[in-house]
Amino acid sequence: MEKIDGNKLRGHLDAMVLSVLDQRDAHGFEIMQQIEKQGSGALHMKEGTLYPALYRLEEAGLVKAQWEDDTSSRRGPRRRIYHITVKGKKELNRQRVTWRQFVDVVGNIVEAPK
Amino acid sequence: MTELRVIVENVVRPVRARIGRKLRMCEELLTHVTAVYDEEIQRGSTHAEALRHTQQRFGDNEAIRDDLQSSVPRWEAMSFTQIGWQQWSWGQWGTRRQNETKSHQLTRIAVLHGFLSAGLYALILFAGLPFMGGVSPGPYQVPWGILVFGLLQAVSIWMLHWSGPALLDKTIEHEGTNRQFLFRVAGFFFMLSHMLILGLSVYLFLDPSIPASTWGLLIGAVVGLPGLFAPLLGYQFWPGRLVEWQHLLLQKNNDRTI
Repeated sequence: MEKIDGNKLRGHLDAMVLSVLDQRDAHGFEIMQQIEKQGSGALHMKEGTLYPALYRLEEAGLVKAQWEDDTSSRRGPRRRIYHITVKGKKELNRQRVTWRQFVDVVGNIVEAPK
Repeated sequence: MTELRVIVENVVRPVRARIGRKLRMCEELLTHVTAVYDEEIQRGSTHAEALRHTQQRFGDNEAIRDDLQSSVPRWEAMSFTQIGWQQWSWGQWGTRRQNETKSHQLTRIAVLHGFLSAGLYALILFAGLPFMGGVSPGPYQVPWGILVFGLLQAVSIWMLHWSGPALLDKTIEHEGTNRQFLFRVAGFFFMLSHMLILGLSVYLFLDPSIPASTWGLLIGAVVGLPGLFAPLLGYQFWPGRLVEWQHLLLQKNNDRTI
């Protein structure tokens, strides 16, 4: 499968993050892994770009985060666990509707038979 | 691992935001790059290869920095934008000079601020006197008032600079609401004391018939100021995490401290 460049994903990153968090709470690295897994390895994103998106979402009240309590089971610094808020769920539903409309409209044009 | 911290700090250091936000970014991004590095090592990369791959996967510093900056509220970014006089003030007076002790550095800053404050107070006083109908200060009252105000400012600034950074480090390290609350309360009382002192000194040094109780209030404010700071000074002796990030050697043009 051809790789999808990070620039093409830019406008959809927020929705993808919300969608991952709608499935379960996760920290940044897990969110990235989940996006890559669900994208079947076709998404080619720079991993650092995830965090500004998370901070924007947090600032907008669409996700909430808290530092994990216990780090004794692994080495390294603490992780921040994100979870989607009610407002975030509403926003995700809105973005899903917008996405379907986009696919329908653009798909009709791009895939129009000769 | 220092190399991983440097990757993170190269991105975060130039971001204009409050220290707490930047430390949160640093810690979270460090968690991520550590996980990426570990993954690369498990795939059989050498240390050098793993570091290179980690940087590649992490992305372009400038692009991420711009994205991070855009995630900071505009008012916060603006309040941390350096302007000319700030650079002069802190560049010339705030930085500790070679072989200079901390107390000497603080005294230098305090004296400068004391003089500036006294000058400003004098300006306000002389500009305001003609409009204070009927008030005629005694021969020593105005200079005495200016001196006391400058001295109070110098002492306050000395204490603020001594306790502030260490206190802030601890506030951030623990992210404890109580400590943050304590810090804000202390800040509030600090400002309140200053306003009280300013107000009382204008009153005291311009009106010859001073009730004795007013002197008591002034003394209370002067003594209360160090008293308010006393419990907070204890944090000075606890090591802070900020230092771990501050001393990293970064790429050129990223030399702004966190």
